[in-house]
Amino acid sequence: MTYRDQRRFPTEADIAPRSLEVTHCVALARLIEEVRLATGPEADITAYNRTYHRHNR
Amino acid sequence: MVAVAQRVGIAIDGVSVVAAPFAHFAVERCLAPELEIDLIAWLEDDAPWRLVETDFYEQYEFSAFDAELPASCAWLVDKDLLAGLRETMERAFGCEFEDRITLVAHKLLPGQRIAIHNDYLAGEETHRLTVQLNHGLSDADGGFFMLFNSSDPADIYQVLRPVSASAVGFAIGANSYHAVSQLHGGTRYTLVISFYATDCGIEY
Repeated sequence: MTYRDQRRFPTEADIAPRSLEVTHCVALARLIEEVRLATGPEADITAYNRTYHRHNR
Repeated sequence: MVAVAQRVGIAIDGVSVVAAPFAHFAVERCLAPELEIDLIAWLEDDAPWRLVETDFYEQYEFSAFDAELPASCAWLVDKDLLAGLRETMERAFGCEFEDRITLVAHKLLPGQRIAIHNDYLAGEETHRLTVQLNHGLSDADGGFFMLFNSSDPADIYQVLRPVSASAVGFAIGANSYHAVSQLHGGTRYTLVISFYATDCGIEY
């Protein structure tokens, strides 16, 4: 068994269509909340805002 | 190296740029599977990840140009390959780019996300190509790349699954709002390749 064989990599069969249609209102609301930009002292440090803190610096 | 460049660039060449809500394209696969496998293995095991922590954010990242790449991934920073990629992006967006390119790797872990933003800073990068790399993330894992019609996170234009070896290219502008939803499982690697237009002739 080779190094590559020991790992699971995606295959064509694993791949769903690229674009996701979000029709369930709860799922949609959760997605929106996940990308909302927090501001002020309560801002979540995991919410990386690349407009101001871009990683290619 | 020419053969590698052809394999890497073939899926990006000839893409159709969609103008709205901002100039962008999406391709299903831009890397040959064997190159994808080598890259993921390197990112997973040996890449020089650096945790950048500030009061406002944290994430793992590094510049590929500052890294010591294994022979299996050396093609990634090959000058001819990057020049070819730049020319492909020039053709796609109808712009001329400077020679300089930045190539940064980014690692998103469960619990992390990238809030809505536009990447826009006057005088800085003008175009980006982002390439996804992962072991196959499910919808439950999250990490979706989201494009927006405006700065309102509810004004979603499109949600794209982070399919490994897929790519999104876009022009950076005041309206190029995008985000990555929270990752709930797995590890989401991204190559972020940035370009600098000298003359675009197009008002994005």
